[in-house]
Amino acid sequence: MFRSGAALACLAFAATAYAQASTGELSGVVLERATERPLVGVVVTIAGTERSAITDEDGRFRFSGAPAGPHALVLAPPGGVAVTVDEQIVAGRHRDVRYLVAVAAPGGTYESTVRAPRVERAGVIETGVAREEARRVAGAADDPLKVVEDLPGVARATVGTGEIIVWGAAPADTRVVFDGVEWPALLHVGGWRSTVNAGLVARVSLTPGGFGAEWGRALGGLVRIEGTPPPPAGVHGDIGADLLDGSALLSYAHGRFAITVAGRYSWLDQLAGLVVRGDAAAFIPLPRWDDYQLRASVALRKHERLTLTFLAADDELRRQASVGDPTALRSDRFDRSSYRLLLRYEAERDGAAVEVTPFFGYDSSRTVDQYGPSPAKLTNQSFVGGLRAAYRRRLGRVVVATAGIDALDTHAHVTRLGSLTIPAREGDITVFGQPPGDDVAAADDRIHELDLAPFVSVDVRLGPVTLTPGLRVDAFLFEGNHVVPPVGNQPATGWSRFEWAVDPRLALRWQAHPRVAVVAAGGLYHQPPDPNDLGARFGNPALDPSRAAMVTAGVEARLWATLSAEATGFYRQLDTLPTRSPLPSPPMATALVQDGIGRSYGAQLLVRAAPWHGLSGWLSYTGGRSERRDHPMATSAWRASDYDQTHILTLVAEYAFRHWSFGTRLRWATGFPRTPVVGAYFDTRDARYDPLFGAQNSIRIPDFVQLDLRAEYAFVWTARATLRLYVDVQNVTYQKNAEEFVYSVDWTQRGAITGLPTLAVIGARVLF
Amino acid sequence: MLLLLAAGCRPDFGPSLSRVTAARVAAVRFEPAEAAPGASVTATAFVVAPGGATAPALDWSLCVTPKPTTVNDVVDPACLQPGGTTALSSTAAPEMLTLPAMGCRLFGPDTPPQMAGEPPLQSRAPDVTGGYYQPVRADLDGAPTIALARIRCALAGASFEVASEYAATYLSNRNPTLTPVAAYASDGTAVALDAIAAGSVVTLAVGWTDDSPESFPVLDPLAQLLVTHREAMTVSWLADGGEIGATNTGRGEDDPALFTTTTWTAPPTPGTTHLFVVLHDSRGGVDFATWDLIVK
Repeated sequence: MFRSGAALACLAFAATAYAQASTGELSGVVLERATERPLVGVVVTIAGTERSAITDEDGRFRFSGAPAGPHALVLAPPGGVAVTVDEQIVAGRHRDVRYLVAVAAPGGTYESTVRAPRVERAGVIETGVAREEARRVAGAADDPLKVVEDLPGVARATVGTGEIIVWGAAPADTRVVFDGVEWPALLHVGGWRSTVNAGLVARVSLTPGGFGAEWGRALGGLVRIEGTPPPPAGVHGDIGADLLDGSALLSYAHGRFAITVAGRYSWLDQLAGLVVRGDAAAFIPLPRWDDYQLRASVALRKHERLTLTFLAADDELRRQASVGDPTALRSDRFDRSSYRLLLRYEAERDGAAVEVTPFFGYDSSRTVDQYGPSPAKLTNQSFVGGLRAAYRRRLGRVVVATAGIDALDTHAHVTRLGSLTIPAREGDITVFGQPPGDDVAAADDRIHELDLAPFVSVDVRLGPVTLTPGLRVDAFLFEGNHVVPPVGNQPATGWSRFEWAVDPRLALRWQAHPRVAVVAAGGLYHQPPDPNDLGARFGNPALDPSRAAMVTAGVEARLWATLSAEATGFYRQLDTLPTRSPLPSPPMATALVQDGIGRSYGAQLLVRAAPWHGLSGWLSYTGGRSERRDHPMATSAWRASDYDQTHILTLVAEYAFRHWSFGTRLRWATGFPRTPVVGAYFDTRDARYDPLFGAQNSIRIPDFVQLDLRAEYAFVWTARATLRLYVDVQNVTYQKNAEEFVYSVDWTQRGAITGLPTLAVIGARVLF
Repeated sequence: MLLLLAAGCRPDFGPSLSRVTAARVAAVRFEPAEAAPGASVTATAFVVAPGGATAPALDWSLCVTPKPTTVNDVVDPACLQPGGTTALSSTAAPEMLTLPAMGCRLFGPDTPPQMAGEPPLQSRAPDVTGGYYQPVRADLDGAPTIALARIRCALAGASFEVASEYAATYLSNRNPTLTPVAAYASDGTAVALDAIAAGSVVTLAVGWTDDSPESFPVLDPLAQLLVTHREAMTVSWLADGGEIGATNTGRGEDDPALFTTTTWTAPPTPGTTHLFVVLHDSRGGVDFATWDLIVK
């Protein structure tokens, strides 16, 4: 008996072992895409089997003993439309997945095919935040796009600038795109508010480097704003107001058609101008802004949609320092307007996905400064147009191929008056309060830049390894109306040239363990010169695209179901950067030369908690260096770049409980480099002292530390209407952070201008 | 809306530039105020000090290093370094100096002849008044001062017709002329300079002759036209006692007034305060004078 019992036990064990060898475990969480809230009651079915599970109150599901191999998982939200995703169940292993599902309203016909998150990324190193989580970050004043400033790799910008500095790259080197189309600025002037209404933003993500072949014209990072899917049926709205501005959004959807209009207008300058004192008002600008958008979509057929989006943003900044002498008056005037019209066609058919987005736009910026008697004017009026198109298709079980084109055409009219040193650029040795050079040059240029960039990439999944080689070829056409500065009545001679840039890219993702992935990416990147730099008098028509070679590598680990960690290292080498000619009398049309080189390197750590019993947030640390060398063939040595910020630590945390949410943000960042003033001399003509400088960028503004708090209460009026009240207090500890060095008039004493110690923004928002 | 907004703070660095606590060069007047390279000019320094204007020995030198386009200062930093200038003399008297013959090439629009196979060089842009300047260094006890002597150069970047018109109409700059200082009480009544009440606040007014603000043409390079401007006038107020309100005051080119004012708070005790006034026109012309303010 014993022997037969033992044999039976062995047989049972053998059967169990065999079953284990051919089965695996699959668990995961299903979240709503826009809000990242758990979806409860979603029926998850392994197609072709009898196996199904239902997500619990945390949105989680689990399959034990599921047959190994490739499967199609069908996710059917209650009352919604089912979506399908391909998954691989590995024998003898446990895999945990995370799905973001756009739940279409009942009656809607659009079905989103949820791909693996990696495919939706611009690069393997990417951090994305859904709108609802982003807007509740303390210090963001209910603006989800402001969260970009708190993502790993982003430097803490000087107050009032709103600059996005990613891994030490200049702000102009990082691209912002809305639904794939370049958008001039993420934030309004001053950095107080983003340029797109929150109600039109589904998600914002940052790829600090190593993005794929679909993206280009950037040496720095990529900020992607994903527009919202069609709104729910009926009429809905969102009206809000706080210290900064007021905004409104209205949407209507019926059947296949949906439309959303939104607008915002600021009043911060009028309110704050009552209390901000003279010197601070001169340093900390108080701009005025507005933006408005329209988004209309129609579902043509099943899996086919047409979306029209109109974006507009305006900025105005006035600043004047009164010094008692009208001949020494200092004034700044800045105006900027941007408009885009996008028509996006999306379709999925026969296992392929197509996206085609033609777009048109107009950008205008005008800077008029006066430094005593010396003027400084820069105007740029540009018409832009282009096309983004991509075709993505699965070829067999392991290959997904993407091919497309990314085209941008820019016609710019640039007029300039003033010193060659205005506006200041990276590498200029300047100090706050120093007047510009007294030379006054003038230029009127028309610049044309055309970039046609076909690209191709392939995702090859070889078991746990996914390789993504890609290739992008940029064909540039540069044209201008002055090859040399015009002299007298001599007829202008224009210029035209072609340039090529071939950018191979490669990304790798190795799922070394169900909870651990190793990622790496690298490649070549090119960025065309700014049209402002192609003028013959202030720039150089012969400037080539700047170039970067980049490599990143990291490890992602899912520590628990809702806790993940990522560690990433990066290295970026730059060359052919435009720098100012060091010569007293440079050759004609060479005020800028292409001698500059640079490098950025470092590492970052991100620990992120997805919502767990109401708690969520992240902790990020970035350590690195950003360096430049202006004229390597001469005597210039490596120096810290103007955008070097060695340490950046950000802690964001939120606790949501019923109708309440509480948030906090703690930031610590190294100050930016500055060049010290080591002496001075008296200039009798201008009756002022002029500074003498020490080693470039050899000192730093003191470290920045700030704690912000936020509290919100959502009052549900009716089943359709919600009132949200929030208070967002920045710098609750009254930290007097230095924002800029300032000197006495004879440059013998140095102090610091401190920023706004405490700012409380109280606001309300009605959603219906 | 609840607003908790504490304005940003800027440090207070103490007394302004108007208080004279030690001897320093406040101005240098060149006569003539504008001359061609190679011409001789007389440089007279205005050295202010507690107790009145003085005439100490100054180390005069000429800067011969043009500044790169990247430098915002009025001179290349090399001019402030040892050996960065061509020494002239050390004298307390007005300095007679000869402007370098290559001034328009070093600091003006002239460029060297184009070499075969090399691109032509870019002409240097003038200041807002269309002018170019020869830097002159005057050191007092090692403390450097840079004065800018306006040099007459050809008009660059202009058509032949415009350049001819410019040559025919442009008049070299002349130094402006101060008129005496006057003081007024808060009610507008005149106050004698030798009878100012201790601790009182008076308005000081100084003027210039009506021919001091001169008109001159400036090239608009984009329109290829000559535009007529009028000199703006700026006054620097310095004193070895009391407190000056605004250190620099003046009139813009569109303001026809021939005077400017500032306030002065008399010391609390009787005594004599020396007031130093420097008048600048926007083309580098200078006049200066000293007055005694007697507090009773």
